[in-house]
Amino acid sequence: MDTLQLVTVLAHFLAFIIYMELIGFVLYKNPKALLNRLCALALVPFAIWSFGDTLFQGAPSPGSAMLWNNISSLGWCTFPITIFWFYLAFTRHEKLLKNRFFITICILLATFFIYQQWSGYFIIDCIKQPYGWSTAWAISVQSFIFSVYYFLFSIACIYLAFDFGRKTRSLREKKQARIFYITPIIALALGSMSDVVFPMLGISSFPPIAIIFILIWAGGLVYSITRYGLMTFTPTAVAEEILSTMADSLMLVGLDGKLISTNKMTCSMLGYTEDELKGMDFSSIADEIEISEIIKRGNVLSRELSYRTRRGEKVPVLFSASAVRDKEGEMVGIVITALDITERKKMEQELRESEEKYRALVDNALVGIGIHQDGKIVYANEALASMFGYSLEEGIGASIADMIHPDERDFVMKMAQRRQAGFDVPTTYEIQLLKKDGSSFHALISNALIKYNGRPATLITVADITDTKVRKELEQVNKELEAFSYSVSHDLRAPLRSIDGFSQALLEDYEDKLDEQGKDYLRRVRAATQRMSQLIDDLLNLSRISRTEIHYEEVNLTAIAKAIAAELQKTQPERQVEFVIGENIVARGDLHLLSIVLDNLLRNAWKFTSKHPHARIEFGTIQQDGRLVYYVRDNGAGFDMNYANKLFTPFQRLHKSTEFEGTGIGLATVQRIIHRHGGSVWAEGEVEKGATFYFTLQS
Amino acid sequence: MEEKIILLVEDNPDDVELTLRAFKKCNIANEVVVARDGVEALDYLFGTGAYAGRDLSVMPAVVLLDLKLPRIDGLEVLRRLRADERTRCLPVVVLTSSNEDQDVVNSYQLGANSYIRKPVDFVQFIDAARQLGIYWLLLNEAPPKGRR
Repeated sequence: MDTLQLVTVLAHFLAFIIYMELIGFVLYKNPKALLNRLCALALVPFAIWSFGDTLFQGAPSPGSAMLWNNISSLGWCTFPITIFWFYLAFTRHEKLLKNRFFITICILLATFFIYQQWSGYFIIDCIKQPYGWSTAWAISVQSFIFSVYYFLFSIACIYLAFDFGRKTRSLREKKQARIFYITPIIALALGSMSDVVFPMLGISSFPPIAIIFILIWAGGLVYSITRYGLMTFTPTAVAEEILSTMADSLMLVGLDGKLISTNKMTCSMLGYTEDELKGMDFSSIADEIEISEIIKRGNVLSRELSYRTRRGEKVPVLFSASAVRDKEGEMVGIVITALDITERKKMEQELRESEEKYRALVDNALVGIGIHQDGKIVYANEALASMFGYSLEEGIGASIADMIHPDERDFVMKMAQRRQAGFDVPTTYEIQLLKKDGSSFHALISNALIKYNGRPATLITVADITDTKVRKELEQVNKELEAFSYSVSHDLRAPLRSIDGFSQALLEDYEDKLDEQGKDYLRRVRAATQRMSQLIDDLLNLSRISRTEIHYEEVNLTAIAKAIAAELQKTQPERQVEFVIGENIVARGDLHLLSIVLDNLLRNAWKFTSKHPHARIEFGTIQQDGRLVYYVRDNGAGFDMNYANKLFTPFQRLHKSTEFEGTGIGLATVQRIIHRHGGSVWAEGEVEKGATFYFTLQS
Repeated sequence: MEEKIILLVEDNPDDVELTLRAFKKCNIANEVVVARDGVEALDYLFGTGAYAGRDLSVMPAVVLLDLKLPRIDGLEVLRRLRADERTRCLPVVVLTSSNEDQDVVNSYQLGANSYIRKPVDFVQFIDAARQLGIYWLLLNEAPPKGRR
């Protein structure tokens, strides 16, 4: 055997060894996976082929060369089938592999071609060459069919891989598929040349080393396996994938407390490399929990503790650990997972600080803050509770109706209902509230609709304004005003009495000494004092209206108007005046003050119709813009609308006092009373055609 | 029938003059004792100070009491009269300038028998004086002496 032949033999033997290695490797990787098994199966014919060819190339005689060639054929007649099976499985066509008919056909095909070779229809001769042996192929139908078979299956494999690579979305599978169709193209092209085309063309100077070229293919498959790792979707493979990509740190710790294995997250969390971590003591990472404790308890669930990083920093983690046992139930190690909760901790801290800030704000607020829902207080701060004289516990659950002054209860509750129903009602207003002991206080209240426990509620802020500076000042001013009025009432009138009294005395006692002009002067003096006296009285009345407290009640305006009408008629029985007074007119307000309003308006109407023979005075109500408007109408002197805005100014008169007497205080008084009732008053009129005075009360 | 005395408690001399004139105009000739302030009024009624030793069996038929007075004001005089057994039943008519609610209410609460606001119009004042005289000096039956 010369050197060249030895090289050929060794090359084939080496190929055989490599094929055997690959079979072992693939099965070692995952002996249970279908794909790995099929890969191994696909490599078996190559191994047989390379083994046969080793001995074929080293054969001493044509007879033994033919024999080993026939052994080789067991491989090269079978491999298109087995490799096709592998490609089917890789490209997810494993269903076909479960079809017994298909498998039987495949096996029969391979057997058929082996039989053909063994019957001498393919290789008809072995020719001694310097490198070993070459073969001579029969130009026959059988060898042509074999070529077709061999090409069809090879091309089917390449097509399957190509098509799969095109369709799959996985980048890994795309790369694998590419290797799976490029390597066979190269290997088959070269192998077909050396083993089929050249011999068929009678070229024998090149050795038939297809099996060596096919190493490229086999190598490609193995490279794909090692480079891209997983050949198939198995629990183990999935687990590895998850462990490396999971956001939790994962460690396998031995019973001795030493780290056995860690995932990527652990490394990036702690700043160590995987190798540095291996063998490290768990206690140097976490000192708040002992491995012995975990071993004793079997598992630890969701405990918050901190890990120490390489740089000595602390990382807060949510820690879980559980013991791993073997089939016999014996503990073999511990699996530890830990989630980095730095961000969560930070957010919790921020939330807590924000919560504390607002709680402090509410707790220390000078105003009362509370929430009511379904008519009950569901939350109150200290200020609110103490404002009402409740303890914090008593305050919760208190009925809000009980906290409002009875005079204002219905009105406020109605307003609250309307607010809840989505109507636009005032959110901030003054209110009289009731303490637990029944005493009342003035407050400013602000309302805002909120959600509380998922349902609509009202957030209230309440300021007790009884003792506010402004109110105190107002009270002071009121007191001073009262003292002033009192003084005016007594002292301003006394001199008037003297002037009038002594003027009258002069007129009586010195009548004979005064001429007519002198008497006239004295009469003017007396008239002026009367007028002055009336002015003082009116002024005092006006200021009294501002000072008196309003007592709300239901007032029958019809009855009052009728009484005033009767009284007016009595003062001047000779006048023919038609009074038209609406029935059942009621209002909520102060009986005394509303009587003054009607008295002034009806008296005015009476006065200004005095020059009209067919006087008619009306009192009634109309609806305007959804509110009730009261009116007093007459057909008397009327007024020029240009001066309508002056009507309600104190001492402002639109008529000469010689025409109609009066001090000009009446309508100012009316306006003041109406304003104090939260209403408004206005007038319409035309000279000599009458006037109408409209007013509203608290809306 | 003994003379019925009127005690006029009034600090303003004009008002005293006008009141006396009014009485004269309507022919009330009864003796009018004038006290210029509250202290004087109390001295008279209780026989103290300038009136020490006065015969207290003689009491006015009516006291016309102004409210705004120097030293002791009208309401205080009224309070003391009502607090003393000797004068508890003495008819007191408040005759004053104001008709402030507080004055009227306080006067009645302290036991005033009547409250009259002095009209500015002197003609009306004379009319008021006449009715006052008729009522308190003629119609009204004084409480029995020496009894409560």
